[in-house]
Amino acid sequence: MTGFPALWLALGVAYGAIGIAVALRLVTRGASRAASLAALGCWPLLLPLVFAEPAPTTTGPLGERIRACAEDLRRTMADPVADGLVVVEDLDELVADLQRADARLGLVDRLLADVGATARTSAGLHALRAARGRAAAEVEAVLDGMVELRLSIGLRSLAGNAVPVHERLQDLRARLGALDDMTDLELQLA
Amino acid sequence: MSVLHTCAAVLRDPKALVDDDARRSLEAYGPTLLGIIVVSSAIFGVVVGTYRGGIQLAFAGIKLPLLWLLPIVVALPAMRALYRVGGIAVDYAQVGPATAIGVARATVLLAVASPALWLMYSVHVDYHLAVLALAGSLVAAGLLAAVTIASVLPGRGTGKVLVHASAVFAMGVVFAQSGWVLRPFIARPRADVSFMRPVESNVFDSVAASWRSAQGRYTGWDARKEGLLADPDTAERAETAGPQ
Repeated sequence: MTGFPALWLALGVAYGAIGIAVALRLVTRGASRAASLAALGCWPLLLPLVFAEPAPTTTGPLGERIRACAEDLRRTMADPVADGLVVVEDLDELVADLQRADARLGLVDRLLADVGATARTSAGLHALRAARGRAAAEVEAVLDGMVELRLSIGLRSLAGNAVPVHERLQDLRARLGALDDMTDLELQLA
Repeated sequence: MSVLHTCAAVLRDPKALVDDDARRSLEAYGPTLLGIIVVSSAIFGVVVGTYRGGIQLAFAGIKLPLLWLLPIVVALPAMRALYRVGGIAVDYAQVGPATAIGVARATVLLAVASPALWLMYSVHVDYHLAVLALAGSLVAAGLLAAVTIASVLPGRGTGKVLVHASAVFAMGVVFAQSGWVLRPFIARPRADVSFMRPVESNVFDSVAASWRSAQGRYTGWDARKEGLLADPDTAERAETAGPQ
């Protein structure tokens, strides 16, 4: 066998092996069967599904507002006037963080509804209610920050000044991260 | 959404298939679009194969889908990089569905137009005319795919047209070279039928040779294997033989 078919064969085997790995990964992530099968042959097209953050299975009390804020901000960033904003991944990551925080709020709400019916005077219950209130306030503050960011993009289009969109989105993500740190601290103190 | 509804959306309103969440679009429509591309281009391939008939029906029916899928698979990273360089905020997950929508639209229209090509081939036209008809159909469909991709992707900035053109050009180059590697689609009437010819030279050398021939200089047709995939022994023999 000359070098030419051997190289073709090696490339083909490598492509097929990656396709199988991507298809298996998609199966474990709960992607549709059609997507997994398609990945066997066309895995480069479906590669973003492998690296996508898994969507939370449950939504919380702020799910609708998160969706609306994210769509509004995406629409603003996609406006032809908002020139040169390359922050799609940053926004996707922020929305994924928000959805996870919202899912946790939903879990706490369900716990409060279940446990609160039988143990109204528990100290732990009061602490959970207080922590839930602070967490919800932080998530809402981040959503307000997204609205502020839209306004900043509008101002930028008028004044022609640069808005550090990437840094602002990173700040908002850091604020959500700080919420996790604060909860950890409360757990240690409790 | 059923396959027929997706076909209708691809033809009538491709933007309807692009969700705000690109990954959701990719998962929802990606496999269906790939299926549409494979079936439509296979139909067109079988029609192309009717020029020679026999096993060439199957060969062309298999190779035409590959011809359309290879650019999607190979050119995606380059296209995305070009959009990023041009300052257009396009995610990798957005480029994929947009390209698949554009190619699906082109292949569906090719399949719809294939009876006309079938009629032409059925009257036993000259081989070169048959090749020209095929090339013309593919170029027209490729241009349609390019326009559709550009219309589906978000574009903004002063260099929007240039960036779209660059990205589509990158895909076009891959498409042209794929067609060269996968030939023959129309087998010569007296030639042996083979699935693929040996890898030799490239599409650009062939175009240059055609250009020289058009000017009356019939040289440069001694294509030899070149590049990474060439047979080293053959390449060495060609080097030592020198100009003839």
